[in-house]
Amino acid sequence: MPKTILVVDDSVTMVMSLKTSLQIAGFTVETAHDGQQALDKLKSGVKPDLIITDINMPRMGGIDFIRHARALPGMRFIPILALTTESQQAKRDEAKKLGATGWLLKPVSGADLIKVIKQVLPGA
Amino acid sequence: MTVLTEQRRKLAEASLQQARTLRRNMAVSTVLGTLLLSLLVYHTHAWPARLSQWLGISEAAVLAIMVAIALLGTNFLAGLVFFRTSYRNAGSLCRTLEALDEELVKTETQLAASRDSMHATADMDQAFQDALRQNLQDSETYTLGIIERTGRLNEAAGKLLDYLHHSSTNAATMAVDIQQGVEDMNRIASFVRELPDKIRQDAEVIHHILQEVKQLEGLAASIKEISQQTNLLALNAAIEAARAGDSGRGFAVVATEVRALANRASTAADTIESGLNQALMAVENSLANSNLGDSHHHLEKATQVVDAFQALQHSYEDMRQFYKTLFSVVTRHNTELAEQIADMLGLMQYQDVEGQRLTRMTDTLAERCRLYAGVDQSPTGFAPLPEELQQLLARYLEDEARHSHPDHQTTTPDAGPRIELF
Repeated sequence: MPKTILVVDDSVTMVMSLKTSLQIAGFTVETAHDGQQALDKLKSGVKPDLIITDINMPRMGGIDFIRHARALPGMRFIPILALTTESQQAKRDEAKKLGATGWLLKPVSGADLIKVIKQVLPGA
Repeated sequence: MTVLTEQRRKLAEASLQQARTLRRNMAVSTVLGTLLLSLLVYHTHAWPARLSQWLGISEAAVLAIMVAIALLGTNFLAGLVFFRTSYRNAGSLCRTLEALDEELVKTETQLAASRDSMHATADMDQAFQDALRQNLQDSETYTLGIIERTGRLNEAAGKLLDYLHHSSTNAATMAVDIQQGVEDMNRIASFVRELPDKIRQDAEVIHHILQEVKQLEGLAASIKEISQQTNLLALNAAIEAARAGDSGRGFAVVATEVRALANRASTAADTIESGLNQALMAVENSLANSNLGDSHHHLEKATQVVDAFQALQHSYEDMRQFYKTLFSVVTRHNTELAEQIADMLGLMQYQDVEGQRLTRMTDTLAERCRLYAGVDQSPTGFAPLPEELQQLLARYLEDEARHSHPDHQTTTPDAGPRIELF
């Protein structure tokens, strides 16, 4: 049974490149273009094994999304990785405080991304 | 401080200086005139009286006229000095005003040029924004195209691998079938090789049996002969029994039974002989019809076919080994291809990073356009523009510094590592 990864980013190219590379690596991929859409998907029953989210997005940003997602039932221990160009330490600390699993600065090579995913998602 | 302001300041200072000079001169002249008149009156106090007598007026009137003359004289002198000073100052003021006018004309010209430049810059900013947005859109479209093609490339590689895997599985199944077929053919070949010897051995056995059967034919003749002799003896016995009368009657019965037995034995011997002859003829005909020479030829051909089939099996084994190696190599290359595709897709993230940078630039350009447009409508004109532009630049630089750049290890000194797991 392949693991499911939810990719949240307002950039179409980011979503498509991540989706394709993750599918090549054998994952099932769900996508959302902002935090609100991702939250709606989680509420509608999508159960990802891992979430990769951007931080600066319209409607609902990554920080707020992490906060709301962690409050949902069954989402407390799902790994959430932030993949962003945001390099402000304060944002990184806030994400960490809210329960993010890791922080990755764009761009991340395919090999590094898979390596990190395997670290946070045992059995992937 | 601008040239215009400097000119204005000089003009104001010149006017003030002129006023101060006038006040000072008048005060000094009046004091000096009064002083001189007082001294003159004090030291030559007799002459006002003489003058009053000479003129026929009172001494007080002379003194009053003297004071008036002194004041008028001193004020005239002061006015004269003031006139000369004012004349010089007026000339200076005129020159200053002319310079001021020139500066004003120059400033207005420069202001108009600045305004035109600002509008031109705003138009350029707008054009840059459009170009940057178009560039962003194009790069996004091209990147998506590359991603789609990369996905297809990976699918094609995957299909090739699946096909090879499927072929390999089929080849393995086919190999088992072929192996089974070869083993069957080997068994048939062994059987075919041994067949001529078996036929020869069977023919020898048949010949031996035929010999024995032929011996049985002699035995049937012997039985027949014995039965004839027995019949003859029984006939003699019957004759002898008839001669013996009643005492030989019982013996006559036995003789009759013996004759009947001899006849049946003779008949049986005929039947056996006839059956044996037919059987011998059939076997001999069969042996005569079987052409062992031709059989050897056909069997040799069959053996050659088996040898060819074994050679085919060896060729197939070689091909299968080659196929296995090919599959292994293609699988390895396919894995490397998948890794490279994943890396290539990772590089596509540059488009997003650069896109965000371009968006920040276009947003800043749009804000600058807005500030330029506000100058025409604002009562303060250009005055707040420099500060607003400085603030805009500061915001842009700050925002830019908050984001990672692909070429830099980290953007700011206090930023964490590029990858961090909490």
